[in-house]
Amino acid sequence: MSDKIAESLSALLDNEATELDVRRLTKTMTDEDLDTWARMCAMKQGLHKENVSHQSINILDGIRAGIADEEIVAQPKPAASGWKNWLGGAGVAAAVALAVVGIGVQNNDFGSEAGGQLVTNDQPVATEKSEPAADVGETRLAAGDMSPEQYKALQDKLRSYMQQHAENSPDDLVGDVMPYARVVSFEVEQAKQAEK
Amino acid sequence: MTTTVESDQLLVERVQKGDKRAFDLLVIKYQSKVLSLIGRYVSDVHEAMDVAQEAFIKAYKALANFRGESAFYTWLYRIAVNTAKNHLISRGRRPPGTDIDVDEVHADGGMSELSHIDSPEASLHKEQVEQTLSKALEALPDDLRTALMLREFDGLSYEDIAQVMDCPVGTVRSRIFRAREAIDKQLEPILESTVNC
Repeated sequence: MSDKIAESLSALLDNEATELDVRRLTKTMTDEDLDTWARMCAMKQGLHKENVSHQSINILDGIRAGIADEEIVAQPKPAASGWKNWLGGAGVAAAVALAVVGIGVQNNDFGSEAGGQLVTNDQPVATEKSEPAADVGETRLAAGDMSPEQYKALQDKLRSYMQQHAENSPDDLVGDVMPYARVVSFEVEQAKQAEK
Repeated sequence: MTTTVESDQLLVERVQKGDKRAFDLLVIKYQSKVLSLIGRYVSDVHEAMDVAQEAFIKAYKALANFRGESAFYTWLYRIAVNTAKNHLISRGRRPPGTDIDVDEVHADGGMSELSHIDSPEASLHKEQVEQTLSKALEALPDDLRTALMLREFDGLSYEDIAQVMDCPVGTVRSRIFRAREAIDKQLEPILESTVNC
């Protein structure tokens, strides 16, 4: 064993090792050096009147076998500050705000009819299954909770709305967001007309 | 110079980069404390070894997410305590009602209840080690002994020792290393029969 390695181990024991020490140790250290490290640890314990017996128990082989197939993939640390962070934060905030507005609009359009496509558990719509408590507040499509017949009926309904709307919309708006907004308000309009 | 936490953190960062050798160093450094801690829950030495191995393996697997917000040893000891508790529960035994203060264990070295520690052979071995250490320390040249004692018993940093001894930090580092090397020559025959790591 080289003196450099032993000196680095000694510094490591005193928590005085540098990054260079640690790199040197992990790159060139042998099992014999690990024995020296174990004895240094035992020496420290002995000087402080602690039990040295625990140091004599070999658990390292079992641990090595246990992690032999494990590969650590460290998660990248978030950067401390900077304009990129600010932009990222602003982007997330904007996306959340957009999602909240979007969900609000869709709930207003669909919330009035039972069996609507988009449901939130905060405002439950009658479905065949009850919602698990852990999902409270989660927003998701409810198609999976419907029977195939109900789902097909809803699809047919939506298709007929789209067809009716496409016939009435100007060509330059096809593919834009407006046709869809008008589609989703179609039934509300129908209900108003029926009331009149 | 680095502090306790920074030194461990350097090793942790090496492990996080995929360097398993750095984890070997951490295992050997903390195995005694971890076994002491587990010994408060599990008195059988073989059982305690299994639990300690499991705790270190869990720690390794979780190390990717360790951010260094607490000291590594605090984080490790918590894993060890939880692993020991879960071990007892899985065997239909009740863990002790009062929780162990992991910082206290780190500070006092832990009072283990592992069965083999109380054996007459273990007591004799402990006595032998202490006597050898004491003799080896006395036999050291003054400058080496002073440097080591200031570090071990007064807890001074290398920088502080350099001021006290009026020499460069590099010299302090070298003196402490040479002191340990000399003591190791005396201690190795006694430990080699038992230290297998």
